[in-house]
Amino acid sequence: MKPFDYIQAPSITDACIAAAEHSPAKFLAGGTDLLIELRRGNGNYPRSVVDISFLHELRGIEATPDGLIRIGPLTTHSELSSSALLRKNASFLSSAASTIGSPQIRNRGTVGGNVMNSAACADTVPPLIALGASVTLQSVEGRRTITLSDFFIGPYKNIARGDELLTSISFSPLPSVCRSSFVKLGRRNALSISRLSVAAVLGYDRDGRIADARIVPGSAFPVWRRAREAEQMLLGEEPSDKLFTAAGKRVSEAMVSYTGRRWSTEYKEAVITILVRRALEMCGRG
Amino acid sequence: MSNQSYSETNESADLHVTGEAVYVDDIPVGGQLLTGRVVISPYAHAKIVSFDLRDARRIPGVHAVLAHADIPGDNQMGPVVKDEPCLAADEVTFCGQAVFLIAAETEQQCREAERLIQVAYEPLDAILDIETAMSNDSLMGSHRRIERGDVEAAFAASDHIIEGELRTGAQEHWYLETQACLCVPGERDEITAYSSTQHPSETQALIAGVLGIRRNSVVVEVRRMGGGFGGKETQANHTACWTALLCRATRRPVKIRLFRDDDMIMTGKRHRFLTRYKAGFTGNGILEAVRIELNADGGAATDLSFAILERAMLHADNSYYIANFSVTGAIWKTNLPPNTAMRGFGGPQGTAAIETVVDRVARFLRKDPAEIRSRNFYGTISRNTTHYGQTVENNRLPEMYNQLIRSSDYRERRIAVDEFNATHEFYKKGLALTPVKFGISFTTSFLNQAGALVNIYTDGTILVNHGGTEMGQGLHSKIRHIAAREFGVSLKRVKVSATNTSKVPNTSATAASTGSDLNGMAVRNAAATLKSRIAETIAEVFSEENRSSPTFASHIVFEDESIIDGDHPERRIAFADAMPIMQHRQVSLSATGYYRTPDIGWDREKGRGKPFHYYAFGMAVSEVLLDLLTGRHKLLRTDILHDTGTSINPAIDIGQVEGGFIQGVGWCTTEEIKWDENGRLMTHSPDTYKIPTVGDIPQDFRVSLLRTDPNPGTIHGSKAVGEPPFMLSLSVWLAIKDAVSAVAGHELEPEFSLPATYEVILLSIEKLKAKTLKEASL
Repeated sequence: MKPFDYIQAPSITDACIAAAEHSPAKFLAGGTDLLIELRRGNGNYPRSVVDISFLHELRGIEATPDGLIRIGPLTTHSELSSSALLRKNASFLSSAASTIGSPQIRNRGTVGGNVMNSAACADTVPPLIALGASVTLQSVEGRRTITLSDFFIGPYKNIARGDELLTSISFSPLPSVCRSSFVKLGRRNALSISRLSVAAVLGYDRDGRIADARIVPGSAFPVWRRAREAEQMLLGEEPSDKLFTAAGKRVSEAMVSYTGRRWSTEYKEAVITILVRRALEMCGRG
Repeated sequence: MSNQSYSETNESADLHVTGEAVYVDDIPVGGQLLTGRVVISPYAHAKIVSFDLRDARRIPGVHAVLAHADIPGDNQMGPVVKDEPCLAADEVTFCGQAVFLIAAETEQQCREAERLIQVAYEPLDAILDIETAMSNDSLMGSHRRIERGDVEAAFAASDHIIEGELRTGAQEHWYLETQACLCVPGERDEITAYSSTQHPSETQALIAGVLGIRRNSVVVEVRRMGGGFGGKETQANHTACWTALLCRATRRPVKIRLFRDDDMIMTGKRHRFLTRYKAGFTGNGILEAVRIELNADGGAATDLSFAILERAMLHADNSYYIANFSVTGAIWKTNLPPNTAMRGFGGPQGTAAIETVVDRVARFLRKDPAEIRSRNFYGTISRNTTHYGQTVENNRLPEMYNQLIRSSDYRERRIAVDEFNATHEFYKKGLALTPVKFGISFTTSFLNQAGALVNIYTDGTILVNHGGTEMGQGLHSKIRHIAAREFGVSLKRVKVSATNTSKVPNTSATAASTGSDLNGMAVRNAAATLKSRIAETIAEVFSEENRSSPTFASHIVFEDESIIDGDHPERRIAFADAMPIMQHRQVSLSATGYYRTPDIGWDREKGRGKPFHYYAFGMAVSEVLLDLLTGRHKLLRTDILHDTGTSINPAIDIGQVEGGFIQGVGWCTTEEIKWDENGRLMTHSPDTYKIPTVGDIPQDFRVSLLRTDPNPGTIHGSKAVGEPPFMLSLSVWLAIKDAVSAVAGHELEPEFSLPATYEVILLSIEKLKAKTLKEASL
């Protein structure tokens, strides 16, 4: 590992100051991605590593007075998986977190790290986008809040500057009429990186027609996005195998049109169709 | 001590668990230690036009930057054929080939120096797969052939003929400890290498070779490896040679431990094979004639490819008698890292070929594949000679088949699987039974030898040195057990030393599953020498005390921590009390032991003889659940029955069976090696290369050892177990194929290759569905 300055920040403000003064800096949360990157030693190697892992104010999941769910970025995947609040209000985010890596990785890795690393296969991101989550970034220059769908600009790329610290992730709880699901497919049964994943939400009106539909595939598009084409097909319809399969096919077509054909496409286009269908089925029939 | 085998825990279990076990990287060295780094070729094939090391050498903290011309001895590290330079001279022939070496005080300085090395390459055309090698006639050595009977005539007379092609993939060893060596200089030209090697004597010889010194100046020591799997049989030599060169150049201790990604990029793998086959058989499924053509991807240098191809050819029969059989083989030279030994050593590739044939025969005839297998098994009285002329003695196959069919409820489950498949559209189950018959001995016959040095100290403790190396397989635990049993003492009294070329010289690699067989016998022979000396002396002592009825040395027995006159059990002395007497009476308490496997002989040119001391047998039944829409599968249950003779340590043997099987499951399913169009390895870290995890073992995993008579002519009646269970993973591969085949009601032959990744499976299913539709519309 090449040398770098290590700074342990006693507060959010200190962390922001340190990142600004010792730029280029990287924030150290759980370290499950950063340490590998540092050891690899290439790319934008930081001058300093600002350790924020001791900042307890960045940890935890709470319902805010204005009716949102707020997640501190240092909350670990294990904590997301076992949170009663999430299980009740956004269960697919818990499910997604519980499929990440191994117990060791889930105990170290954080949701903030997952978001900031911005890998196309990040498992907490599809549910967060489906939830319409916003992130708050803080730096010495101030604070800004952005919706996640505007946050990502490509694989491992987002709009945050190097000195900006993610301080909060928040979203509205899913309405009680909605059901959510997360499915993923790796290359083996455990400790597997998603080759494809899907987060889905369905809500029904009183007549049993679909009134709310959200589909976010992972590892499918160059930039994270909701599969609006497929969502539109579902609205106002009654659920059926045929409908769900058609929605899956629509996502598959969109994937191919955005990414072009590659060696893995033949496999992925068949599988994404199925994963979308299954994710929708898992949301239930109202 | 009873004569019954029992399961003592691994002699290093406490150290493994607490992290105190010492591997190369854990050996404490003083402040003099330098870090070594290997600079590798970024091209699969290129001319080295020029290079300049001056800037790199000027970095503070850098003590040496070496190129091929700086090698004082031979620039050569090929283990058998001298076709592998230690550092590339004028040309690089694969991505990851070593070109320069750097030693510096820190890793960072090494990397800085590497950045400043200026080298101009002129890229050349590269051969990156077997087909291209074939069309360019890029052959290594010559074609090989083993034949029996008249295959062509038998094809003409056969009721049915099938033909096809099978691809089996490469496999990374994925030892947890990457290649590592620490070299410490001594006086004059002496050097000690602490190497993570399966073959210390060869490491010693090659270090002496590159340094241009004699072997009596080089000591190689191995406490333990963090896994070997064949990957450290020859290729540990490379890291050792590079480390030794830097140690010599700097006159300081130097250590190289390869980073995981570098290790995966630089080292060879299990050979990829492209196999073509043709088989003729009767309406009852009896194989009448088989022709198998094995094509191996050798990589850029010979390494052990000839021996690996040979073992593949000798296992192309697996467990089946084939009256007319032709096996041919060729190794193709490509611009990839030289492929090397890996658990099974060609056996898995040869076995996969014939298992594919038998599986297809059964599907063709609409018969249960297990039934077709058993009909073709080697017989116990007739139909019991292999295509190379060795008689299959003590054949356990029929007996194991009957036991396993019963204990696994095979027949009931076959019906249940068919019922499940008839009622499920999107999920199918598959079930398969596969056997293994694995030949035990190095096929290069002279390698079947081993040495030991046993010291007894006057406090009654025993130190056993032997030529085998410990790589986590439990060899030292078994050796310790063998020594304790020979001396009739408790395990506490016995310690096994680190393997060291100055204690036991000129050894063979710990490989070919023969570690316990060969070294155990050598230890027993050393113990026999010591016991006869002790018996003579103690008989004298007893006789002096009982002048009327002397004790005969030949009647002395060693048991219960004592030395006892078998005729007069009251005459006994504690083992520990006897040793000072030996010293006082001036009798040596140190002895060497030597063993060579008797009764084997193999004529490589004619393809005839008895290459193996004996065969180890095993059998497995696996059941999978397949998700037809994603290709994902779950291993529901595996039953294994394995033959280890009279096991020296059943717990260790079962561990080897489970581990070998699971490693094989990885080869058969999730482990996929991919190179890009420039010959660069794409799957060079655990995020892209997927070995099985605990989540991938069978949900219901039942392993038992065959209850059987002691194996004749081996150490304590035991059998080798390191490699044979690997082949049992083919039961999983064929269970997946069975499930795929159910998509078309077992009417059509699925396209299938190895590994059967989710992707391979799904595409195979899609093709079957398309074919079924086409046939239905006709």
